[in-house]
Amino acid sequence: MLKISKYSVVAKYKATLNGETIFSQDNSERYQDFLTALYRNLKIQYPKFFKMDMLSKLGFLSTEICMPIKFNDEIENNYNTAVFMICNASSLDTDKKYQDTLADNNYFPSPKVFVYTLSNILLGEIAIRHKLFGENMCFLSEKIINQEIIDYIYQCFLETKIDRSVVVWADYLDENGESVALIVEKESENNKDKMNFNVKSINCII
Amino acid sequence: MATVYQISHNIISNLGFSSEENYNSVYNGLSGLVSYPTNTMNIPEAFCASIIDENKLNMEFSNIGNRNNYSRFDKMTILSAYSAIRKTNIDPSSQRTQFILSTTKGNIDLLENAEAKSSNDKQLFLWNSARLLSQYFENPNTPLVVSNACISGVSAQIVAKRLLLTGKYDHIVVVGADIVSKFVVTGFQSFKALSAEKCLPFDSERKGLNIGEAAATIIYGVSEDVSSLDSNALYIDAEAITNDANHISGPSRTAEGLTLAIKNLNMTTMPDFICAHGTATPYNDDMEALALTRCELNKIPTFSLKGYFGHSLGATGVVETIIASLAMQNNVVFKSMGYNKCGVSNPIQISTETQKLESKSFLKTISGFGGCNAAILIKNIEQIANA
Repeated sequence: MLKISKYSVVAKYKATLNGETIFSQDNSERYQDFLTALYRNLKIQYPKFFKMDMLSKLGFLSTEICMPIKFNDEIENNYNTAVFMICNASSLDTDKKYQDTLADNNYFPSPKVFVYTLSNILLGEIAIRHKLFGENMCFLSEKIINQEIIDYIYQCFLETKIDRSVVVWADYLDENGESVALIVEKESENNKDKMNFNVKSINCII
Repeated sequence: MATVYQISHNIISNLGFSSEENYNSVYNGLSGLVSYPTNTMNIPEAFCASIIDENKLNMEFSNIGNRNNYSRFDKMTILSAYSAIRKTNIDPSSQRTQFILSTTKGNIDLLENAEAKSSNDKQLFLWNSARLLSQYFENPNTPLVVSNACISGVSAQIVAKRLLLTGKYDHIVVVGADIVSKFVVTGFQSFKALSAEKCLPFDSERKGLNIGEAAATIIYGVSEDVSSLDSNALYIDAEAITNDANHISGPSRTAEGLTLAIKNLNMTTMPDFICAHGTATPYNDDMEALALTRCELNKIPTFSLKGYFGHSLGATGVVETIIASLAMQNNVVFKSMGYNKCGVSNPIQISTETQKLESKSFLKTISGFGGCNAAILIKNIEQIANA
């Protein structure tokens, strides 16, 4: 059995850890300003954050809430933590921004925008931040709850040497979006009273 | 121990509409790459790409469906899956059959349509393309979409293997596809990653990659009893996915992720040949050569298929697994097209002639944006019987 040992949600305009609000703001803020305020509130020192697109910022922050890093130099290489991400709209929001740079009268395609037209860049951002060298996979799904993806994650724990994973749902399109991060681990003495990793638990969380 | 093996496959590319046509083209040294002048597809810079003939696609598709009901991308995926399924007695409408779509950008060309862009047309969502594909075959399951940049085609096969091992399915149809679009070509041009001429993987003069267009399908099955299978059948012996944890768009200078992926296969014997990623960008090929050297695979015959097909993004891992599988079944190793003089800092054994090579296993490696890497080891089924 796999357990959800921690979970976090970043949405408009609130961030929660294990169901408890850790930061919220007045809804008059722009969403990206809220994410910057959340970043500052979490006392993160990571300038790469400001280069990310909104999808990556959302996924990065929800992961950061579940797996906080106090000092950047304390992170060790990790080979046994997998990252799985699921999103609905893929990178469509950034795709549209990139498409705008291809107009005949305003042609200036930029690699800085183009790189974020792949949704799995978020996996790379999380892997770099937390030095995760292990299994990673990006699924696109209309719904956050997808039994097939849960089955796949269970099988990965059987087939590979991973002992922990971050499961990130991230979605952003036209100023709207959210992110949910779950720390999913093999059952142990430390987490036996936590929620099981299944459809019902994810339903509860969202 | 259950074995996940290949049942059927298909490739649709500029080199043909069946696996065999594509294989024969490669065997005969033909390339699907064509040079396109400035302003082709309204792209200011000239480029070189492998593009499927629109008329041929529409003609072939009209035999199996109404071509006006589907986009170019969706016609490619459905036609490829149909062609692979047709050769088998698999029931695609069974609950025990599942579909996995591997793609990076799907119907991205539709973004050029202002109305589709402003209304977030459903066709822009990749899960919708997967649904159209599985609905065509009246499959009752929710299909999966794997989108891991350039490694998607190999990672989708890995998802197929692991899901088959759960026992929930008898067959999984893996379809990889991507199209050549202004969006993708200009993006890679902005990265200075594209060569305006035919690509030269691992060569000293290599300048970058070429985009290709393809749809390819492999149907995998699972069996507890391999003695019932054809002696020429192939199976996935081992697989691994890793991340470089280093850079979102550049390969690792130490080749850490790819080295780890290959080591995680725990190979007990050397593969007979390696079908590398070999995109022909300066950094990728250098990184791959370093990984193969670190894994002591630098004396194993290695080729890239990008000189034949270009880089077909979400399709490339599926296309290349099929071509390499047919090479193994025919005891052939391919010439790595475009290679003349070693241009990587760690010399590896690049294959310079298409010739006979007795083989029982091959390694497929692949790497992509987001720092992802994957490796799979494909073997002949007799390797289990002999084990």
